[in-house]
Amino acid sequence: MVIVHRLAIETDEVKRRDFMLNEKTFVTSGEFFAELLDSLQPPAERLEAAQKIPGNVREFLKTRSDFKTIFPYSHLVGSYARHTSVGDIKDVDILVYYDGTLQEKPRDVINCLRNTLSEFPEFIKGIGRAEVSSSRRSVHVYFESKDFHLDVVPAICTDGTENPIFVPDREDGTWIKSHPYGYVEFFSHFNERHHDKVRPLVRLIKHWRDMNMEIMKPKSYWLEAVVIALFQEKKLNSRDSLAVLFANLLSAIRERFQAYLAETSVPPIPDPMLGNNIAPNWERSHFETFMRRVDESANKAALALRAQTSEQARLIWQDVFVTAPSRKSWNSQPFKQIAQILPGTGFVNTLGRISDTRPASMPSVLSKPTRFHGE
Amino acid sequence: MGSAIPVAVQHNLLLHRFPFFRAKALRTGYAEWIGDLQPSEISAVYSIKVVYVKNLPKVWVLSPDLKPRAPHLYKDRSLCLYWPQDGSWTPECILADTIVPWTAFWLYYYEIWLDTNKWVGPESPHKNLQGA
Repeated sequence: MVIVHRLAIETDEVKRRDFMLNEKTFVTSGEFFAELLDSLQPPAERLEAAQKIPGNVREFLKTRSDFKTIFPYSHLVGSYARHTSVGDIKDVDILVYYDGTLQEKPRDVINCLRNTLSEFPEFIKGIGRAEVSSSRRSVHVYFESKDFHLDVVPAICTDGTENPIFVPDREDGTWIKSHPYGYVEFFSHFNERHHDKVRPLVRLIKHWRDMNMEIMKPKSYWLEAVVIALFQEKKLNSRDSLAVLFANLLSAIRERFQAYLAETSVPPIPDPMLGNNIAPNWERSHFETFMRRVDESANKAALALRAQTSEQARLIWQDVFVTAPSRKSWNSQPFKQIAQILPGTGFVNTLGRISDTRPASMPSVLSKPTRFHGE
Repeated sequence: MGSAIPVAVQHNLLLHRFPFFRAKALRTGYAEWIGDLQPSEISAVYSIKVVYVKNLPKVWVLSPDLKPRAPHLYKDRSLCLYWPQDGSWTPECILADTIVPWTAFWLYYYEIWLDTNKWVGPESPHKNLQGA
Protein backbone atom coordinates (compact mmCIF):
# COMPACT_ATOMS: atom_id res chain seq x y z
CA MET A 1 0.00 0.00 0.00
CA VAL A 2 2.84 2.32 0.91
CA ILE A 3 4.60 1.60 -2.39
CA VAL A 4 1.45 2.26 -4.42
CA HIS A 5 0.89 5.52 -2.52
CA ARG A 6 4.47 6.66 -3.21
CA LEU A 7 4.17 5.84 -6.92
CA ALA A 8 0.95 7.86 -7.05
CA ILE A 9 2.71 10.88 -5.50
CA GLU A 10 5.63 10.56 -7.94
CA THR A 11 3.27 10.33 -10.92
CA ASP A 12 1.39 13.42 -9.71
CA GLU A 13 4.70 15.25 -9.37
CA VAL A 14 5.66 14.37 -12.95
CA LYS A 15 2.25 15.53 -14.16
CA ARG A 16 2.61 18.81 -12.30
CA ARG A 17 6.05 19.42 -13.72
CA ASP A 18 4.84 18.60 -17.22
CA PHE A 19 2.01 21.08 -16.78
CA MET A 20 4.49 23.82 -15.85
CA LEU A 21 6.71 22.97 -18.79
CA ASN A 22 3.74 23.03 -21.15
CA GLU A 23 3.44 26.72 -20.42
CA LYS A 24 6.85 27.28 -22.11
CA THR A 25 7.27 27.11 -25.83
CA PHE A 26 10.03 24.93 -27.15
CA VAL A 27 10.29 26.21 -30.70
CA THR A 28 13.98 26.50 -31.57
CA SER A 29 13.73 27.93 -35.12
CA GLY A 30 16.88 25.93 -35.75
CA GLU A 31 16.01 25.29 -39.37
CA PHE A 32 15.39 28.98 -40.09
CA PHE A 33 18.71 30.04 -38.62
CA ALA A 34 20.62 27.17 -40.24
CA GLU A 35 19.23 28.19 -43.63
CA LEU A 36 19.90 31.86 -43.01
CA LEU A 37 23.53 31.29 -42.02
CA ASP A 38 23.99 28.98 -44.97
CA SER A 39 22.67 31.69 -47.30
CA LEU A 40 25.24 34.15 -45.93
CA GLN A 41 28.17 31.97 -46.94
CA PRO A 42 30.25 33.59 -49.68
CA PRO A 43 30.23 31.87 -53.09
CA ALA A 44 33.07 29.41 -53.63
CA GLU A 45 34.77 31.38 -56.40
CA ARG A 46 34.90 34.48 -54.19
CA LEU A 47 36.40 32.50 -51.36
CA GLU A 48 39.04 31.30 -53.77
CA ALA A 49 39.91 34.86 -54.83
CA ALA A 50 39.97 35.99 -51.20
CA GLN A 51 42.29 33.15 -50.29
CA LYS A 52 44.64 33.48 -53.25
CA ILE A 53 45.15 37.17 -53.94
CA PRO A 54 46.50 38.31 -50.54
CA GLY A 55 49.14 35.59 -50.72
CA ASN A 56 50.13 36.89 -54.15
CA VAL A 57 50.57 40.39 -52.70
CA ARG A 58 52.80 39.06 -49.97
CA GLU A 59 55.01 37.16 -52.42
CA PHE A 60 55.19 40.18 -54.71
CA LEU A 61 56.27 42.56 -51.94
CA LYS A 62 58.93 40.13 -50.75
CA THR A 63 60.62 40.52 -54.16
CA ARG A 64 60.66 44.31 -54.00
CA SER A 65 63.43 46.48 -52.64
CA ASP A 66 61.52 49.75 -53.17
CA PHE A 67 59.07 48.82 -50.41
CA LYS A 68 60.79 46.63 -47.87
CA THR A 69 58.68 44.37 -45.73
CA ILE A 70 59.86 42.42 -42.72
CA PHE A 71 58.86 39.12 -41.18
CA PRO A 72 56.07 38.04 -40.92
CA TYR A 73 55.56 40.25 -44.00
CA SER A 74 51.77 40.33 -43.97
CA HIS A 75 48.67 39.20 -42.19
CA LEU A 76 45.08 38.95 -43.26
CA VAL A 77 42.90 41.10 -41.04
CA GLY A 78 39.35 42.38 -41.17
CA SER A 79 36.07 40.52 -41.39
CA TYR A 80 37.31 37.99 -43.94
CA ALA A 81 40.13 36.93 -41.62
CA ARG A 82 37.67 36.56 -38.74
CA HIS A 83 35.11 34.74 -40.94
CA THR A 84 32.47 37.30 -40.07
CA SER A 85 31.80 38.41 -43.64
CA VAL A 86 28.21 38.17 -44.77
CA GLY A 87 27.23 37.37 -48.31
CA ASP A 88 29.67 38.00 -51.11
CA ILE A 89 33.27 38.79 -50.16
CA LYS A 90 34.10 41.84 -52.17
CA ASP A 91 36.97 43.16 -50.19
CA VAL A 92 39.77 41.81 -48.12
CA ASP A 93 42.06 43.73 -45.78
CA ILE A 94 45.72 42.88 -45.57
CA LEU A 95 48.32 44.33 -43.24
CA VAL A 96 51.87 44.55 -44.62
CA TYR A 97 54.74 45.00 -42.16
CA TYR A 98 56.86 47.85 -43.42
CA ASP A 99 60.52 47.91 -42.55
CA GLY A 100 60.57 51.55 -41.50
CA THR A 101 60.26 53.86 -38.50
CA LEU A 102 57.58 56.05 -36.97
CA GLN A 103 59.58 59.10 -38.01
CA GLU A 104 58.53 58.51 -41.61
CA LYS A 105 55.34 60.26 -42.65
CA PRO A 106 52.39 57.91 -43.31
CA ARG A 107 51.67 59.79 -46.54
CA ASP A 108 55.16 59.04 -47.87
CA VAL A 109 54.94 55.38 -46.92
CA ILE A 110 51.55 55.04 -48.58
CA ASN A 111 52.80 56.73 -51.73
CA CYS A 112 55.75 54.38 -51.85
CA LEU A 113 53.45 51.39 -51.36
CA ARG A 114 51.12 52.61 -54.08
CA ASN A 115 53.95 53.04 -56.56
CA THR A 116 55.20 49.54 -55.78
CA LEU A 117 51.78 47.95 -56.01
CA SER A 118 51.11 49.65 -59.35
CA GLU A 119 53.34 46.91 -60.81
CA PHE A 120 51.51 44.11 -58.97
CA PRO A 121 49.00 43.31 -61.76
CA GLU A 122 51.88 42.46 -64.09
CA PHE A 123 53.31 40.15 -61.43
CA ILE A 124 50.17 38.04 -61.56
CA LYS A 125 49.57 37.01 -65.10
CA GLY A 126 45.99 36.46 -66.02
CA ILE A 127 44.49 38.55 -63.21
CA GLY A 128 43.43 41.18 -65.71
CA ARG A 129 43.23 44.88 -65.15
CA ALA A 130 43.65 46.32 -61.71
CA GLU A 131 43.27 49.88 -60.47
CA VAL A 132 45.60 51.04 -57.76
CA SER A 133 44.70 54.07 -55.67
CA SER A 134 45.61 55.38 -52.28
CA SER A 135 43.74 56.88 -49.32
CA ARG A 136 44.87 58.34 -46.02
CA ARG A 137 45.45 54.94 -44.49
CA SER A 138 45.91 52.36 -47.21
CA VAL A 139 46.44 51.45 -50.81
CA HIS A 140 43.43 50.12 -52.56
CA VAL A 141 43.71 47.63 -55.41
CA TYR A 142 40.60 46.85 -57.42
CA PHE A 143 40.68 43.77 -59.65
CA GLU A 144 38.19 44.50 -62.39
CA SER A 145 37.80 41.01 -63.80
CA LYS A 146 37.10 39.57 -60.33
CA ASP A 147 35.19 42.62 -59.04
CA PHE A 148 37.38 42.28 -55.99
CA HIS A 149 38.91 44.93 -53.72
CA LEU A 150 42.08 44.59 -51.72
CA ASP A 151 42.88 47.11 -49.01
CA VAL A 152 46.60 47.05 -48.20
CA VAL A 153 47.48 48.81 -44.95
CA PRO A 154 51.13 49.49 -44.14
CA ALA A 155 52.02 48.77 -40.54
CA ILE A 156 55.07 49.52 -38.47
CA CYS A 157 55.92 47.02 -35.81
CA THR A 158 57.90 48.32 -32.84
CA ASP A 159 57.34 45.45 -30.43
CA GLY A 160 56.48 42.29 -32.29
CA THR A 161 53.18 41.41 -33.92
CA GLU A 162 51.78 40.03 -30.65
CA ASN A 163 51.61 43.61 -29.40
CA PRO A 164 49.84 46.63 -30.91
CA ILE A 165 51.39 47.98 -34.09
CA PHE A 166 51.11 51.36 -35.80
CA VAL A 167 49.00 52.09 -38.84
CA PRO A 168 48.19 55.37 -40.59
CA ASP A 169 45.40 57.29 -38.94
CA ARG A 170 42.42 57.97 -41.17
CA GLU A 171 41.99 61.55 -40.11
CA ASP A 172 45.20 63.40 -39.44
CA GLY A 173 48.03 61.63 -41.23
CA THR A 174 49.83 60.34 -38.16
CA TRP A 175 50.60 56.82 -36.99
CA ILE A 176 48.12 55.41 -34.51
CA LYS A 177 48.23 52.31 -32.39
CA SER A 178 46.14 49.40 -33.57
CA HIS A 179 46.03 45.65 -33.07
CA PRO A 180 44.18 44.17 -36.03
CA TYR A 181 46.09 40.91 -36.13
CA GLY A 182 45.90 40.52 -32.37
CA TYR A 183 42.19 41.04 -32.72
CA VAL A 184 41.90 38.21 -35.24
CA GLU A 185 43.51 35.88 -32.69
CA PHE A 186 41.48 37.30 -29.81
CA PHE A 187 38.22 36.92 -31.72
CA SER A 188 38.95 33.34 -32.64
CA HIS A 189 39.64 32.34 -29.03
CA PHE A 190 36.72 34.40 -27.74
CA ASN A 191 34.38 32.65 -30.15
CA GLU A 192 35.64 29.22 -29.05
CA ARG A 193 35.24 30.07 -25.37
CA HIS A 194 31.63 31.04 -26.04
CA HIS A 195 30.53 27.79 -27.67
CA ASP A 196 31.23 29.11 -31.19
CA LYS A 197 28.24 31.42 -30.90
CA VAL A 198 29.99 34.80 -31.30
CA ARG A 199 30.88 34.47 -34.95
CA PRO A 200 27.41 33.47 -36.20
CA LEU A 201 25.84 36.13 -33.99
CA VAL A 202 28.08 38.81 -35.49
CA ARG A 203 27.18 37.65 -38.99
CA LEU A 204 23.50 37.70 -38.12
CA ILE A 205 23.53 41.22 -36.67
CA LYS A 206 25.45 42.51 -39.69
CA HIS A 207 22.96 40.87 -42.02
CA TRP A 208 20.05 42.22 -39.96
CA ARG A 209 21.57 45.71 -40.25
CA ASP A 210 21.97 45.36 -44.02
CA MET A 211 18.38 44.22 -44.46
CA ASN A 212 16.83 46.81 -42.15
CA MET A 213 18.91 49.89 -42.98
CA GLU A 214 19.85 51.14 -46.41
CA ILE A 215 21.65 54.29 -45.33
CA MET A 216 23.07 55.65 -42.07
CA LYS A 217 24.20 52.17 -41.08
CA PRO A 218 26.50 51.62 -38.11
CA LYS A 219 29.87 50.18 -39.09
CA SER A 220 30.36 46.43 -38.95
CA TYR A 221 33.23 46.71 -36.49
CA TRP A 222 31.07 48.71 -34.13
CA LEU A 223 28.42 45.99 -34.12
CA GLU A 224 31.08 43.37 -33.58
CA ALA A 225 32.54 45.29 -30.64
CA VAL A 226 29.08 45.64 -29.07
CA VAL A 227 28.47 41.89 -29.36
CA ILE A 228 31.79 41.17 -27.67
CA ALA A 229 31.12 43.69 -24.90
CA LEU A 230 27.70 42.15 -24.20
CA PHE A 231 29.20 38.68 -23.88
CA GLN A 232 31.94 40.03 -21.62
CA GLU A 233 29.33 41.77 -19.46
CA LYS A 234 27.38 38.50 -19.31
CA LYS A 235 24.31 40.09 -20.87
CA LEU A 236 24.39 37.25 -23.39
CA ASN A 237 24.63 33.55 -22.55
CA SER A 238 26.36 31.44 -25.15
CA ARG A 239 24.63 28.31 -23.82
CA ASP A 240 21.39 29.56 -25.40
CA SER A 241 20.31 28.57 -28.88
CA LEU A 242 21.07 31.01 -31.67
CA ALA A 243 17.44 32.14 -31.92
CA VAL A 244 17.30 33.02 -28.23
CA LEU A 245 20.71 34.67 -28.43
CA PHE A 246 19.75 36.87 -31.35
CA ALA A 247 16.54 38.00 -29.67
CA ASN A 248 18.49 38.70 -26.49
CA LEU A 249 21.13 40.59 -28.47
CA LEU A 250 18.58 43.02 -29.88
CA SER A 251 17.06 43.48 -26.47
CA ALA A 252 20.47 43.97 -24.83
CA ILE A 253 21.51 46.57 -27.42
CA ARG A 254 18.31 48.46 -26.76
CA GLU A 255 18.88 48.35 -23.02
CA ARG A 256 22.55 49.34 -23.32
CA PHE A 257 21.93 52.41 -25.44
CA GLN A 258 18.46 53.40 -24.23
CA ALA A 259 19.66 56.14 -21.87
CA TYR A 260 21.43 57.95 -24.70
CA LEU A 261 18.15 58.51 -26.52
CA ALA A 262 17.23 61.06 -23.86
CA GLU A 263 20.49 62.90 -24.40
CA THR A 264 22.08 64.60 -27.38
CA SER A 265 25.30 62.56 -27.47
CA VAL A 266 25.95 59.09 -28.92
CA PRO A 267 27.12 56.12 -26.87
CA PRO A 268 30.78 55.15 -26.90
CA ILE A 269 31.72 51.71 -28.19
CA PRO A 270 34.95 50.39 -26.69
CA ASP A 271 37.53 48.72 -28.92
CA PRO A 272 37.76 45.09 -27.75
CA MET A 273 41.57 45.22 -27.77
CA LEU A 274 42.57 48.74 -26.92
CA GLY A 275 39.53 50.04 -25.07
CA ASN A 276 39.31 53.38 -26.90
CA ASN A 277 36.01 54.58 -28.30
CA ILE A 278 35.78 53.41 -31.90
CA ALA A 279 32.59 55.32 -32.72
CA PRO A 280 33.31 58.97 -31.90
CA ASN A 281 31.96 60.00 -35.29
CA TRP A 282 28.62 58.15 -35.04
CA GLU A 283 26.11 60.77 -36.07
CA ARG A 284 23.24 61.42 -33.72
CA SER A 285 20.53 61.00 -36.39
CA HIS A 286 22.12 57.74 -37.52
CA PHE A 287 22.16 56.46 -33.95
CA GLU A 288 18.49 57.33 -33.49
CA THR A 289 17.52 55.56 -36.70
CA PHE A 290 19.48 52.50 -35.64
CA MET A 291 17.73 52.46 -32.27
CA ARG A 292 14.31 52.64 -33.88
CA ARG A 293 15.14 49.59 -36.00
CA VAL A 294 16.53 47.76 -32.97
CA ASP A 295 13.40 48.50 -30.98
CA GLU A 296 11.07 47.27 -33.72
CA SER A 297 13.03 44.10 -34.27
CA ALA A 298 13.56 43.38 -30.57
CA ASN A 299 9.79 43.41 -30.06
CA LYS A 300 9.25 41.08 -33.01
CA ALA A 301 12.03 38.73 -31.91
CA ALA A 302 10.47 38.46 -28.46
CA LEU A 303 7.23 37.38 -30.14
CA ALA A 304 9.10 34.84 -32.23
CA LEU A 305 10.45 33.23 -29.08
CA ARG A 306 6.95 32.95 -27.67
CA ALA A 307 5.46 31.49 -30.86
CA GLN A 308 3.57 28.29 -30.28
CA THR A 309 4.60 26.66 -33.54
CA SER A 310 7.69 26.74 -35.69
CA GLU A 311 5.57 28.05 -38.57
CA GLN A 312 4.55 31.09 -36.56
CA ALA A 313 8.11 31.66 -35.41
CA ARG A 314 9.44 31.40 -38.96
CA LEU A 315 7.04 34.05 -40.23
CA ILE A 316 8.11 36.44 -37.52
CA TRP A 317 11.83 35.79 -38.04
CA GLN A 318 11.37 36.35 -41.76
CA ASP A 319 9.92 39.72 -40.88
CA VAL A 320 12.83 40.52 -38.54
CA PHE A 321 15.36 39.72 -41.25
CA VAL A 322 13.22 41.08 -44.09
CA THR A 323 13.46 37.82 -45.99
CA ALA A 324 10.91 36.82 -48.57
CA PRO A 325 8.20 34.57 -47.18
CA SER A 326 8.81 31.00 -48.27
CA ARG A 327 6.75 27.92 -47.92
CA LYS A 328 8.18 26.08 -45.00
CA SER A 329 10.35 23.45 -46.48
CA TRP A 330 11.85 20.75 -44.45
CA ASN A 331 13.70 19.80 -47.59
CA SER A 332 16.11 22.72 -47.35
CA GLN A 333 19.68 21.75 -48.09
CA PRO A 334 21.11 22.18 -44.58
CA PHE A 335 18.44 19.97 -43.08
CA LYS A 336 18.64 17.38 -45.85
CA GLN A 337 22.28 16.96 -44.96
CA ILE A 338 21.48 16.83 -41.26
CA ALA A 339 18.88 14.11 -41.70
CA GLN A 340 21.38 11.93 -43.53
CA ILE A 341 23.84 11.83 -40.64
CA LEU A 342 23.12 8.72 -38.62
CA PRO A 343 24.62 6.96 -35.63
CA GLY A 344 27.05 4.56 -37.19
CA THR A 345 28.21 6.92 -39.92
CA GLY A 346 28.33 10.29 -38.16
CA PHE A 347 31.17 11.71 -36.07
CA VAL A 348 30.80 13.34 -32.67
CA ASN A 349 33.55 15.68 -31.49
CA THR A 350 34.58 16.51 -27.94
CA LEU A 351 31.91 19.23 -27.73
CA GLY A 352 29.18 16.89 -28.85
CA ARG A 353 28.97 18.36 -32.38
CA ILE A 354 27.65 16.02 -35.03
CA SER A 355 29.19 15.94 -38.50
CA ASP A 356 29.19 13.64 -41.48
CA THR A 357 32.96 13.83 -41.92
CA ARG A 358 35.75 13.55 -39.39
CA PRO A 359 36.44 17.09 -38.17
CA ALA A 360 39.97 18.27 -38.84
CA SER A 361 40.20 20.67 -35.95
CA MET A 362 39.20 18.52 -33.00
CA PRO A 363 39.28 14.88 -31.86
CA SER A 364 36.11 12.98 -32.53
CA VAL A 365 34.48 9.59 -32.23
CA LEU A 366 32.94 7.65 -35.07
CA SER A 367 29.56 6.84 -33.59
CA LYS A 368 28.18 3.33 -33.40
CA PRO A 369 24.77 2.38 -34.79
CA THR A 370 21.75 2.46 -32.54
CA ARG A 371 18.01 2.72 -32.69
CA PHE A 372 16.21 5.00 -30.27
CA HIS A 373 13.59 3.32 -28.19
CA GLY A 374 11.46 4.56 -25.31
CA GLU A 375 7.84 4.63 -24.27
CA MET B 1 31.25 -13.46 -23.83
CA GLY B 2 33.65 -10.71 -22.71
CA SER B 3 33.69 -9.15 -19.28
CA ALA B 4 32.28 -5.79 -18.23
CA ILE B 5 34.61 -2.81 -18.49
CA PRO B 6 35.47 -1.55 -14.99
CA VAL B 7 34.08 1.81 -13.94
CA ALA B 8 37.56 3.31 -13.59
CA VAL B 9 38.38 2.40 -17.19
CA GLN B 10 35.06 3.78 -18.39
CA HIS B 11 35.88 7.00 -16.55
CA ASN B 12 39.32 7.37 -18.12
CA LEU B 13 38.03 6.69 -21.60
CA LEU B 14 35.11 9.08 -21.13
CA LEU B 15 37.30 11.95 -20.01
CA HIS B 16 39.79 11.22 -22.76
CA ARG B 17 37.15 11.44 -25.47
CA PHE B 18 35.01 14.13 -23.83
CA PRO B 19 37.36 16.18 -21.65
CA PHE B 20 34.63 18.64 -20.67
CA PHE B 21 32.88 15.97 -18.62
CA ARG B 22 33.63 15.54 -14.94
CA ALA B 23 32.85 12.82 -12.43
CA LYS B 24 30.47 13.61 -9.60
CA ALA B 25 30.80 10.14 -8.10
CA LEU B 26 33.17 7.30 -8.86
CA ARG B 27 33.36 3.99 -7.03
CA THR B 28 33.23 0.30 -7.77
CA GLY B 29 30.00 -0.45 -9.56
CA TYR B 30 28.78 3.15 -9.63
CA ALA B 31 29.66 6.38 -11.41
CA GLU B 32 28.02 9.66 -12.21
CA TRP B 33 29.27 12.22 -14.70
CA ILE B 34 28.07 15.67 -15.71
CA GLY B 35 29.03 17.32 -18.99
CA ASP B 36 27.94 19.58 -21.82
CA LEU B 37 26.95 18.60 -25.32
CA GLN B 38 26.09 20.98 -28.14
CA PRO B 39 24.99 19.02 -31.21
CA SER B 40 25.42 21.89 -33.66
CA GLU B 41 26.83 25.40 -33.77
CA ILE B 42 23.38 26.95 -33.56
CA SER B 43 22.12 24.67 -30.79
CA ALA B 44 21.76 25.41 -27.13
CA VAL B 45 24.35 23.82 -24.88
CA TYR B 46 22.78 20.92 -23.02
CA SER B 47 23.97 19.89 -19.60
CA ILE B 48 23.64 16.15 -19.22
CA LYS B 49 24.08 13.61 -16.46
CA VAL B 50 25.25 10.07 -17.07
CA VAL B 51 24.66 7.59 -14.26
CA TYR B 52 26.29 4.19 -14.51
CA VAL B 53 25.15 1.65 -11.95
CA LYS B 54 25.59 -2.10 -12.10
CA ASN B 55 26.83 -1.82 -15.69
CA LEU B 56 23.67 -0.09 -16.84
CA PRO B 57 23.88 3.50 -18.11
CA LYS B 58 21.15 6.11 -17.84
CA VAL B 59 21.26 9.66 -19.17
CA TRP B 60 19.23 12.70 -18.20
CA VAL B 61 19.20 16.20 -19.64
CA LEU B 62 19.64 18.63 -16.73
CA SER B 63 19.18 21.82 -18.74
CA PRO B 64 17.51 23.31 -20.64
CA ASP B 65 14.19 21.66 -19.87
CA LEU B 66 13.02 19.08 -22.38
CA LYS B 67 9.60 19.50 -23.89
CA PRO B 68 7.01 17.33 -22.19
CA ARG B 69 6.09 14.25 -24.20
CA ALA B 70 9.28 14.41 -26.23
CA PRO B 71 9.78 11.07 -27.94
CA HIS B 72 12.25 8.44 -26.82
CA LEU B 73 12.15 9.15 -23.12
CA TYR B 74 11.54 6.71 -20.32
CA LYS B 75 8.98 7.46 -17.60
CA ASP B 76 11.77 8.76 -15.36
CA ARG B 77 12.68 11.16 -18.21
CA SER B 78 15.97 9.44 -18.88
CA LEU B 79 16.83 9.25 -22.57
CA CYS B 80 16.12 6.10 -24.50
CA LEU B 81 19.32 5.74 -26.48
CA TYR B 82 19.20 2.15 -27.63
CA TRP B 83 16.83 -0.76 -28.04
CA PRO B 84 17.85 -3.49 -25.65
CA GLN B 85 16.76 -6.14 -28.13
CA ASP B 86 19.35 -4.87 -30.61
CA GLY B 87 22.18 -5.70 -28.23
CA SER B 88 23.81 -2.40 -29.21
CA TRP B 89 24.68 -1.72 -25.57
CA THR B 90 26.34 -4.36 -23.38
CA PRO B 91 28.68 -3.93 -20.41
CA GLU B 92 31.59 -4.69 -22.77
CA CYS B 93 30.85 -1.45 -24.61
CA ILE B 94 32.70 1.79 -23.97
CA LEU B 95 30.39 4.56 -22.76
CA ALA B 96 32.42 7.18 -24.61
CA ASP B 97 31.93 5.33 -27.90
CA THR B 98 28.25 4.62 -27.45
CA ILE B 99 26.12 6.27 -24.80
CA VAL B 100 27.63 9.76 -24.95
CA PRO B 101 27.70 10.03 -28.78
CA TRP B 102 24.17 8.58 -28.87
CA THR B 103 23.13 11.30 -26.45
CA ALA B 104 24.54 13.93 -28.83
CA PHE B 105 22.53 12.36 -31.64
CA TRP B 106 19.44 12.22 -29.44
CA LEU B 107 19.74 15.97 -28.80
CA TYR B 108 20.34 16.57 -32.51
CA TYR B 109 17.18 14.76 -33.51
CA TYR B 110 15.26 16.26 -30.58
CA GLU B 111 15.95 19.78 -31.87
CA ILE B 112 14.77 18.83 -35.34
CA TRP B 113 11.68 17.22 -33.78
CA LEU B 114 10.94 20.46 -31.90
CA ASP B 115 10.80 22.34 -35.20
CA THR B 116 9.24 19.75 -37.46
CA ASN B 117 7.37 17.25 -35.27
CA LYS B 118 9.35 14.49 -36.95
CA TRP B 119 11.91 12.24 -35.38
CA VAL B 120 14.40 11.72 -38.18
CA GLY B 121 16.73 9.46 -36.26
CA PRO B 122 16.61 5.66 -36.43
CA GLU B 123 13.93 4.15 -34.21
CA SER B 124 13.15 0.76 -32.84
CA PRO B 125 9.97 -0.74 -34.27
CA HIS B 126 7.52 -0.15 -31.42
CA LYS B 127 4.13 1.49 -30.93
CA ASN B 128 3.32 4.89 -29.44
CA LEU B 129 5.78 7.03 -31.37
CA GLN B 130 3.94 10.16 -30.33
CA GLY B 131 4.87 13.47 -31.81
CA ALA B 132 4.49 16.85 -30.14
